[in-house]
Amino acid sequence: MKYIITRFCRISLDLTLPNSVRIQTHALDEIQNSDFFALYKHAEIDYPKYFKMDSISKYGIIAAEYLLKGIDLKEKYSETDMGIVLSNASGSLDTDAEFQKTINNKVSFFPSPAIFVYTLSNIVMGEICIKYKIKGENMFFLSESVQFELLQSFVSDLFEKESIQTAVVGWVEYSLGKPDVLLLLVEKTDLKDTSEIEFTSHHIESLYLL
Amino acid sequence: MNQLITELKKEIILQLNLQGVTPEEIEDNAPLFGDGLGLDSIDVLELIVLLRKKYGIKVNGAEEGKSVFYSVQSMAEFVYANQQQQQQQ
Repeated sequence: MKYIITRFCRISLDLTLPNSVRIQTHALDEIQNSDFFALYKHAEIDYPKYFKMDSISKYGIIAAEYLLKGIDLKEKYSETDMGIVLSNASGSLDTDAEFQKTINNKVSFFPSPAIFVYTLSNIVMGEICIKYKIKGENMFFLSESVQFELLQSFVSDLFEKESIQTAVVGWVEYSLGKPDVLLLLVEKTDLKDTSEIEFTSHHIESLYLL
Repeated sequence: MNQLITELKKEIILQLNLQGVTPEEIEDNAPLFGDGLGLDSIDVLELIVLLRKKYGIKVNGAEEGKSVFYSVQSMAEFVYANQQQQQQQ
């Protein structure tokens, strides 16, 4: 039995054009406007709650949509067999700063509940779980840079313990207007197919460095 | 009152990020929660902040909140009544 990366989505800042991001998946490689409405339209999402989310959650949802588009995970797996393991460096710092703006001024002190609910690192993971009905094992790591070996070993351990049958794994970072996202869909297989991307730390790193 | 209702609709759309919704699409008497605009518990907190911030009005308790935030019409009546009270004081 081995674990393979059946799909991936990489979103990063594009340096060739202003206000644009590069979206790379198993099926496409495109430069898109980084405006959140444009990204929503391009991903063909119908999920109004998206517009109430903070920036990191929006990028998480966009990446998850590209990752899972067109596949019916519910047909293959039960909700509790689907796990999710994410990580990032800044937690919810961008949103924390937004919230701080609503409480900086003692005269105009109006803490925003809608912003406050996003001031926690793993909220992006929760939003992905709600939209895609992922109810299995979950973990969110904070580290200065992507810990390829940690992600690989932690998720592989969950597979080996039969805690999960599939997992969304990756890095969802957003800071100072710069998205840096890699999501992977990892599944089990006992087939020997050399074209498959095996779930190794080396392959995670290669996809991150695309 | 009609002006206040239109103003509230615009504020609700802006504060709650109701993308693609126009003031004309919000019915004056339609419920804001559940079948109507489909707002949630966080949205009601934002509406409380909106009334405090824009009109200087405080909602007292959950019971009052239920009737105030039933619809745009009920919100407007609440704001109007409070504005009248403030003018008399």
